[in-house]
Amino acid sequence: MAQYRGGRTPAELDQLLHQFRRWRRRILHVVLVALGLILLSSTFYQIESDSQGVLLRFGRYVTTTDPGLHFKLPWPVDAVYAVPVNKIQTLDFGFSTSRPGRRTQYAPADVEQLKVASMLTGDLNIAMVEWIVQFRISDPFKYLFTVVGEKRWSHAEDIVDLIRDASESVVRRLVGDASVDEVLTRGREQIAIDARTELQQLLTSIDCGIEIVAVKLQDVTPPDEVKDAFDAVERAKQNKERVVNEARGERNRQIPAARGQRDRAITEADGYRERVVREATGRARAFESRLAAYRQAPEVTRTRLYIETMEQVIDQINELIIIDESVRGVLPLLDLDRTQRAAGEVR
Amino acid sequence: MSVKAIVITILVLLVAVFVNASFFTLTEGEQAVVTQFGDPVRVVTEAGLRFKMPFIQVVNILEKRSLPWDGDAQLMPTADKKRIYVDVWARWRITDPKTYFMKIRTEQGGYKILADQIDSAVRNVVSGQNLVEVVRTSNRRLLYDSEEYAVDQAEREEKVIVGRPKMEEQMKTAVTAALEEGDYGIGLVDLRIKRVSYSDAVRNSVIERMKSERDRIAKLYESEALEEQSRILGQTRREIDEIEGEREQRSAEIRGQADAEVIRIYAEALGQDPEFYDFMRRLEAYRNTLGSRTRLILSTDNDIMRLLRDRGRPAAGPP
Repeated sequence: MAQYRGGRTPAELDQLLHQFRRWRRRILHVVLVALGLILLSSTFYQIESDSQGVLLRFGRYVTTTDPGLHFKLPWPVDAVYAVPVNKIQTLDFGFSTSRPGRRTQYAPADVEQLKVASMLTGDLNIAMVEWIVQFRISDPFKYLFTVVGEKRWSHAEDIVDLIRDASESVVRRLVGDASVDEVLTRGREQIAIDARTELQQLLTSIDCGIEIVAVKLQDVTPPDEVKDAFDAVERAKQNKERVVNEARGERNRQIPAARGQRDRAITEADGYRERVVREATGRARAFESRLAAYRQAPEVTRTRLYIETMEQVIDQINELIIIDESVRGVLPLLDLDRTQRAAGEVR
Repeated sequence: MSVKAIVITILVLLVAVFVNASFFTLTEGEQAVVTQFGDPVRVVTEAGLRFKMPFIQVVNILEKRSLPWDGDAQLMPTADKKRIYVDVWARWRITDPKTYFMKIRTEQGGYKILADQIDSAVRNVVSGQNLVEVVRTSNRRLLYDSEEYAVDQAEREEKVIVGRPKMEEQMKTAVTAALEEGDYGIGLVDLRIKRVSYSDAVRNSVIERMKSERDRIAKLYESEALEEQSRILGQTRREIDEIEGEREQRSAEIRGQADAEVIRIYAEALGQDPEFYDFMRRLEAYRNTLGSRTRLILSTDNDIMRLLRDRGRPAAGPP
């Protein structure tokens, strides 16, 4: 370019104008292309894999679309709401998880949460019940356009308000028809199952396109002021079990021992029978044998046996005194007390 | 720029403004009242692209979805003079947009009307019933861990005649009737008791009662433990006695049978010659009994010694 710092010639001005016209056309083209691109981009939309899209044309429902890339008419004709239908969402009641994660941390309970947790049982006691509700959006259209919440931040908030209210009513009604013992221990499962059914019925009656996946009771406790008393009951219960178990143990110890002794005595009696019968049989046979032999020659055998026996007997005895008939008077002279051990026999 | 171009631009803009003023879109979940100089002339409830008279008619969009209502907990007495806080929630909707638009216009107005109707309905229903009716649903048998306590409690339990769900129905009916009567163009979708809680004074006495109940239950467990223990030990004693009795019985029977058999065997054998047995047995008895402790004084008359005195006399036979 030449240097013209001062005035400009008409020819130069002409050229400048020409240049401006050319630039204007170019800017126009750029703007048009940009508009076209924006328009084009608003004719496509993408639905994520956990969601469904609700397509409205001039505000009127047209269709529900599945995950993927879809065509629509550009703004302001068509509008799309993406709804996470497959996502299971969880609401906490009576407590709050401040940082969900692998190790969940629980935030300290505030006054509102204590109010949510505190409820009356059927026996007019107070129990602190914490629970969670898991839900899923089953009908995205109904979910979007059936209910509205208090704050109207988003559709997600709208539905949470309803589920919160409904769930509190349902769980309280069930707890109100159970004893404090049932709420604290044995009835928990049933209350959770019934709560799920009943909550689903309530939401179905409002027709808001929500499916309740689960209701789970979490920590259920008596109020702080009576915890000690409840613990004392628990201890007494444990103690009862211990005493009963000990008694059963004692029983289990004694009865088998008694049975063993019984069986032993019976077996011993059997043994006794075996022994004495055999012995008697043996002796009887011996007698029979002797008798048979004796009968061959009774007289002489008898004499022999008698004399042999006497011989043996007299041989063994301590002291033998033989007195003739003529010296009968000597008997009183004998010192019979001399040996107390011995016993005399007079034939 | 030529004059022609300017005129065309202005015309296009005019048409655009006119078209814009002649149509409106109604989104799902909305309904609208079309007013002409403030006068409602038309109600639109179906979503979509709608026509209206440009510039003359104005569209007022209203909510078609269910609206929330959640008042504060109210302190009220029951029929049995218990003071409790009752907290209810409701869902309502605009059922007649034209009437609603003329009479209430804003949702705030709707909340106000509901608050009045619901409060009076809840008070009326609750004050007519005992506390147990508000809390319980049915006469379902409450279960307790301690059987003794369950029996005791079953006797003292108040019977439930109405129950919470029916009371909710009564409240709903009353509010619905009042809304219809007032003709506000709004209707009740649902109404439920959310919370029932004791006032502080009642709460303290309940806490005290709970404590004393627990003390009683703990004592019941203690006595149940003794009961069960005695029962088990008694049963054990009984069974042991039975077993020991059986032991004595069976062994005595067996021993008796054995002895009987022995007697029979001996009788059979010895009965063949009792006299010989007598003889043998006596000899055996002498052998066994007369020994080193014995001092025997015999006369020469004795058969065994007779030869000492009288040689050659023949034997007189055995003794």
